[in-house]
Amino acid sequence: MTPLLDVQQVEVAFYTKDGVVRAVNGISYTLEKGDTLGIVGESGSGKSVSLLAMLGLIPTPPGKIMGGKILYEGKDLLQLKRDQWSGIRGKQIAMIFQDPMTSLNPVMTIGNQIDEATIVNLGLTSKQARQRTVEVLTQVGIPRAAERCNDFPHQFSGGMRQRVMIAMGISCNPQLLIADEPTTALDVTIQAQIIELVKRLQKQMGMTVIWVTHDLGVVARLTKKIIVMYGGSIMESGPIKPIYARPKHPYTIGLLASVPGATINRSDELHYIGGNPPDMIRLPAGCAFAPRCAYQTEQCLREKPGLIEVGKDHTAACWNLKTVEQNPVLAKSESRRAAGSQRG
Amino acid sequence: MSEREKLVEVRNLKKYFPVKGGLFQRHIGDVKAVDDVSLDIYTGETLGLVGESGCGKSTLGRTILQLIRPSAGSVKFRNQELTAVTGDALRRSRTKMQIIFQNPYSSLNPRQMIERTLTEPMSVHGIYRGTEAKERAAQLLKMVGLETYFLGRFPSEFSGGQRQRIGIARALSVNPEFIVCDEPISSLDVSIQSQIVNLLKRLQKELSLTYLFISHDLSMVRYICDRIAVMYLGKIVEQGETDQICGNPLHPYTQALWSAIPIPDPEVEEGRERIILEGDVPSPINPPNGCRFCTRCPKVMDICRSADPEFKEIENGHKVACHWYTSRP
Repeated sequence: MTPLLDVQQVEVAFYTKDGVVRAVNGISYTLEKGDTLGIVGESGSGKSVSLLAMLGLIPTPPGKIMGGKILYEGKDLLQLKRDQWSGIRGKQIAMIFQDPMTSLNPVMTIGNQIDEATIVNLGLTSKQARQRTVEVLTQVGIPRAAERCNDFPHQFSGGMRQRVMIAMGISCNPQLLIADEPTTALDVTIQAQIIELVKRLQKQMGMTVIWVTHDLGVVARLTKKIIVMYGGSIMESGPIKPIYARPKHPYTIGLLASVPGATINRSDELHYIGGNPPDMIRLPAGCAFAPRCAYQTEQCLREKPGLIEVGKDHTAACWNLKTVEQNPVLAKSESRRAAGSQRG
Repeated sequence: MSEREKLVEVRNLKKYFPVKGGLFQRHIGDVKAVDDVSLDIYTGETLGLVGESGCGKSTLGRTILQLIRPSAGSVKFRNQELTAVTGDALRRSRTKMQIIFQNPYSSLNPRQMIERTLTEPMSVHGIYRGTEAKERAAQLLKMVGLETYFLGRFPSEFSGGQRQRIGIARALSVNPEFIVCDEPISSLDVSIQSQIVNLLKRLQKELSLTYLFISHDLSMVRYICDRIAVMYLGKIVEQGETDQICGNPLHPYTQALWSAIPIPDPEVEEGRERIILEGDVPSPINPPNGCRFCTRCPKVMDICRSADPEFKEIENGHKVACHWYTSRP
């Protein structure tokens, strides 16, 4: 069976006046229908850009897709012409953005904004569209949906606006829903509501979901599979439980250790990854994480590691997996030393 | 407990922001950002202040520092009443109390070299001048883990984590005793957050600082703070030692807040019971009658809608404002 989504060696770069920003450097993964995938990474890790490419939303110029394929039901999205996108975007693949205030039109009622999606994508009449709009708004838990269709985005709270965005996203029954940090701007109690909502909708509609976040907790609550990105490359990917229980890549190990767990003693120093996130214009030739890595060898600086199978469906991109496995404690003391010499 | 020295004493503090409207911009209501808050901060401790956006936690921090003047109530720092102090005396008090801001991108002047950013507070307060100030600035940079040659650079040349270190150095430049940390890590990447938290903890030990740590990241608060105060709609609803608040949260809001925080462990998440609160935080202009949490509370009783619950000590040092514990039949 062909997977719903097959991403192969996608590369995206942006040509800016300061130089070429290598945002995404050859990422590959597959996604089966009905799966939930979490993409975790810090700012600038390329997680959002890789998804914008999936919707043909990379601004060109300055952006350019340097290579690779994104096969959606076997069809390469990167080869689509401008007018071919309309059958895919919104209809097959929908996206929810981080900040619902800036992604909704402030001078248009939310009813009209959602109507527009179904009128354009599904060819509904305006009457049918409004009916559908009320239906989806009710589905995402907006009370008095029919009345609220006539309200403008500023009349909704942050959490409600994100619900409106989700309603718009699901209005055309997409197969794949991409959520790009949809809860980052929201409070935790509201975030919990939105996560439960997406989980419920996914079950009801059988959607495939990609959830992008920097929050390791959100992913743990929501997804079954994750991809950890750093510097535009995949560092580690696989089923969530083994990755959280026994991370293999030094970056994943460091990231998970940086979050204070329930058992941490308050007098202990918190683990941290030294140094700073990479400059995407001057990425190292080898592994993007090498300059901050405690296990760094000469090979890491010279050659980029590929993803190596470390378990069932579990891969990690690191030259020194054996050393890391044998000395997981090294990460702490060594990375601290590395941080001292590199700080600044 | 009683031997601990109170550094900051807040009593019945209120801050209302007037809302104007209508044809003549008449006063039509108030945003009750901080509404009758009392708390003590002891020397050398870290008090965590948690709550959702709009609950008034930042306003409370700033009102304590007199960056915003309170509408009513009292703030004492080392037994000196601050709300009455003005002019030079107020400026002098600022050398003892400083703030670290949330956003390291907007809180540094982009046109000022780091040296000026760090030496200006010293000269304003007449602590150091000239070469002495420059030496002190260099020393501060080292203290926060940056290189001294950064003095001649501009903020735009630094990453978020480095900027936050500069913000910390600036707060330290006048040798304060008390620092309000207003969400100092929430705009930083995960791998950088722990660096900054370690730095804050180290500085606290070295310089015997007292912190008011404002945050909505409860896992960090649990790790950093000795005591925690939970705020909801302008009021403190629960307060106690970190272990009390985290191990045995009493207020239904604290319980819901705790359960809403995703834990980075899929095994734990799987079996976790969740309290999902309905609805949004009500507007602070027109808060609900009685207990402010009554509109979203899963344990709401009749009395909650009419009477404001008393803030009462339930166990040693652990206080909660909830009828569930005081008025249950």
